[in-house]
Amino acid sequence: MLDIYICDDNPVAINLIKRTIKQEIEKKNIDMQIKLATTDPFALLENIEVNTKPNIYFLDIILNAKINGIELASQIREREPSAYIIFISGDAKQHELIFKYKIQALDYIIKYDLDDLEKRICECIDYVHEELVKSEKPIKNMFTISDKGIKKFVEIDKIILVEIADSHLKKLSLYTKTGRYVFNGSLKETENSLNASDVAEFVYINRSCLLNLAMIKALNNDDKTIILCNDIEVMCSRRYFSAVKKSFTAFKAKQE
Amino acid sequence: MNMFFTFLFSYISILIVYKLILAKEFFTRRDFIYGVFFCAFMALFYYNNFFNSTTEFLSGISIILILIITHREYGLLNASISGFATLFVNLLSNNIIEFSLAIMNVPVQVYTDNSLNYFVVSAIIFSLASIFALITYKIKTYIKKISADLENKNFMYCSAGLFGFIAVSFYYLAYHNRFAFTQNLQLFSIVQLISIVIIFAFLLVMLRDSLMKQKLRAQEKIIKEQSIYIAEIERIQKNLRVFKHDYKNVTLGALKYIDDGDIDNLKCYYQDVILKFENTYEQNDTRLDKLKNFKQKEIQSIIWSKLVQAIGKKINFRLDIERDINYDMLIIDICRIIGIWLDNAIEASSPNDTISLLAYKDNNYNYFVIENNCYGNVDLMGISNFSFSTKGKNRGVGLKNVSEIINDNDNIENHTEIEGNKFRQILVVENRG
Repeated sequence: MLDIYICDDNPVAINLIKRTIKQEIEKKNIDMQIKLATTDPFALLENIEVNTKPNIYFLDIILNAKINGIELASQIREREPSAYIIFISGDAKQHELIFKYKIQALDYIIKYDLDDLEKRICECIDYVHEELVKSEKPIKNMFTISDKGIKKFVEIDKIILVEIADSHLKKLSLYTKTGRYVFNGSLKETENSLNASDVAEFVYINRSCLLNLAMIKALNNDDKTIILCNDIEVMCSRRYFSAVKKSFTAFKAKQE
Repeated sequence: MNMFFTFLFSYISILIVYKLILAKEFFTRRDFIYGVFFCAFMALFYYNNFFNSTTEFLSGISIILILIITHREYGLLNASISGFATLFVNLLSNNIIEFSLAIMNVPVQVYTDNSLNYFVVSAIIFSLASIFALITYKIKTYIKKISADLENKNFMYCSAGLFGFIAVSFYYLAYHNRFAFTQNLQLFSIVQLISIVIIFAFLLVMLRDSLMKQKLRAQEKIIKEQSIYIAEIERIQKNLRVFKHDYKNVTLGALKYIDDGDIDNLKCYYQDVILKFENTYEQNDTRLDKLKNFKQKEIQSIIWSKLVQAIGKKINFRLDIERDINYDMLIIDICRIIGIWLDNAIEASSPNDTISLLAYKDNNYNYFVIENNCYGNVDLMGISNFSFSTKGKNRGVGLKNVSEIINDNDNIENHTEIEGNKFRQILVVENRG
């Protein structure tokens, strides 16, 4: 059973949202309930119950209280990092970016357009429902880049390589096909956590670079270079080349 | 022939020091050819009694050596500066020695050719050269840091030339008049010291002058930006007036339906007219106001100037900045990062694209996000490399600088992502408390 919380300064809007959600839940027989609908953000904060399953929050931005919806949302995030937060507001467009990055809101719905409002609320409910049905996503295959600031998860088998970025040996940069992440960390620990999963295998190609074996397209014996799947050539240290070659052939054999 | 090998040895040792401290690649054949020529020349000079004393000779060697090596690595400008700096310091140290000797009434000719053996010669050259290598390196990085893109070249040329001119003339005077002035050595040394003070004073004046000029230029820039700012505010004002006027009419229209009790039509009217009306006027007029949320005022001005550029290119610019954003790093660094990213974003955007800029904070972190449209493939692995560029030669230098800044700061992390046709840079700065 998933709990839904609503907070809006306008009782009319609360009723509207409640009605829409109830209809949707009954229509599709979804395992959710409206736990609380209030005009007071502090009452909401006091009554949050964090369960094993995430809660869903529908929040307005302007609340006629000491805090606004964004601040309320950040406090909710602090208590329940995995919460689904949806903003319903008159001027959502202005803060779209804040919702997206800071709150990591699921959606932001503009209040005035009534048909659209109902439709979007239903879409959110459906989305959460689907997510939870297919969920139990194996967290083991995700690598957490830095636990400070933004928590960023990257699928391990999408990682191309990890290398030491600076001369002080404090920063690593991790490449995927669609991203480059520079963060504080040690290569040794990263190697341990990467190779702990069984979705990919990483080898050193020189002292400061870890490469995903699955990303190798070909090895060049003559000048000891490695061609990656995105057609980029990287130099391999002479000392490490034979080891890389060995594990690459073993990896290929295992795949076939 | 003995001397030749001494020189060769010292040359190689200096080379090693230089290469270890400064250079990326190791020895090349050119280095050795230079070195052999140099040593041969020096030996020739030595055997022809070209110099009057060992000190002179040593200074000569170290200067030429440093000139050659810095020229190889860093070009003529740095070579002349470090060369003249060497000369200057040599002169200074000589001067101090002579001064103290004169005070103590010791005859001047303490150091003769016989009192120093070959090994000491090389050792002195070696240590001198390494000290100057370090000094030039430090000065260079420092200057680079404080004046990233300010006009400093003229100043450097001038000071190098001045150093050179004065040092050479002094050198000449000091060593050719010494024997005539032996009795008046005290006086002579004092004159030298005073002149050195004058050089410094002159250099300081020049430095102040160039700083003043920079300030002036910066002020001019601010005035220019301010005038655009004022124009933008006037535009918003005008917009607001028009909006007020129109809004009255629109609400009057609604009143008619309310009077008639015609709810269905009112609903239509609301959706068709009022919502559309609001959308037309919902512009990014509040964005100027948000810029002041940066505590570091320099960031405001850099974003503002880029914003003006973007407006000029008809690029949409969306801003959202939370209150009291303060990045815990050098202001020059954060400004460079933001400037470079925005430049790239503007360059990658075509008219009607959108650049979104977001700054927010939570707990102990401040964030900066830039998002822009990008078309085609971006080679993320090449981005931080010097050669990166889809835009032509040497355009990737900016991002290289960004990487350097990020790597130098422990409390910064950087995520670069591509999602669909969005390109996104995220900067995470931890407060060091």
